Amino acid sequence: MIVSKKERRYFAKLLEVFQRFPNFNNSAYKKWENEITRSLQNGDDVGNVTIRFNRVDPHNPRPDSLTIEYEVNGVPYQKRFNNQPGG
Amino acid sequence: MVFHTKKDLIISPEVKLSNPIEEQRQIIDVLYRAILVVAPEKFSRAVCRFEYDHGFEDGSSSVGGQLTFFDGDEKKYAVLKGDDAFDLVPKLHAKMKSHTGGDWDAFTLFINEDGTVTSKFEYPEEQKANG
Repeated sequence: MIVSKKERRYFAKLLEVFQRFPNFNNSAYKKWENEITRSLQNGDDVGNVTIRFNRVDPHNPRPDSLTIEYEVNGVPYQKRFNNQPGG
Repeated sequence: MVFHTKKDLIISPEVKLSNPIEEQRQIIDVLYRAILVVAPEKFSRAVCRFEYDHGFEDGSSSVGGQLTFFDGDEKKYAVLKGDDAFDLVPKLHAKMKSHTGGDWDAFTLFINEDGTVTSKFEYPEEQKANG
C-alpha cells in the first residue's frame, strides 16, 4: 500500500480534529497520536482510516466511544477510546 | 494439523461464574469466539494481540487490537467486529489485577495449530527489561 502525501495530510488533519474533542484530548489518545506521528515520521504507510462513532442511544449527539480502524504498512489495527471525562 | 472453521463457533450457554480463574477463562473464551467470527474459511493458526493502555493520571484508557490468521505461510489480516471484545479487555485486566495483582498492558491470544488456545501477557516491567 502506498500512502500519498494527500492521505498523509488527511491523517494529520484527522488528528487535529480529535484534539478539538475535549474528552478525547487525553493521555491515552495522546499516546496513540504520538505512535501514529512516529510511524509517519519513520516513513511507514499509514492510511485506510475508518472511524466509527458508537452510541448506545442513537439519539445522543455525544458518542459513547469511538473505534478507529487503520493500517500501518498494510497491517490493520483497531483502537477504541471511550468518550468519558478524562477518558 | 487442525484447521479451524466457522463451525467451531459454538455459543455456550450462560454459565454462572463461580471463581476468578473461571471468570478469566470465560472472558478469554468469548474473545476466542470473537476471533472465530471474523476467521477465514480455513486457517491453521491465529494470533490476536490486544493492548490496554491505562494508568494515566487523567484516568483515560484505550484498547487496541491486531488480528492475524495464518494458513501455512500465508497471512490473512482481519479486524474484530463490534465492540464486545474491546469491552472485555479492561474487564479481564480488572479481574486479573484484583486476583493476582498483575498489571499487564497487553496480551496475545494464540489459536494454535493443534487447536489449543493459549495466551501471553505482557507487563510493563517485562518491556523495560527487554529494552
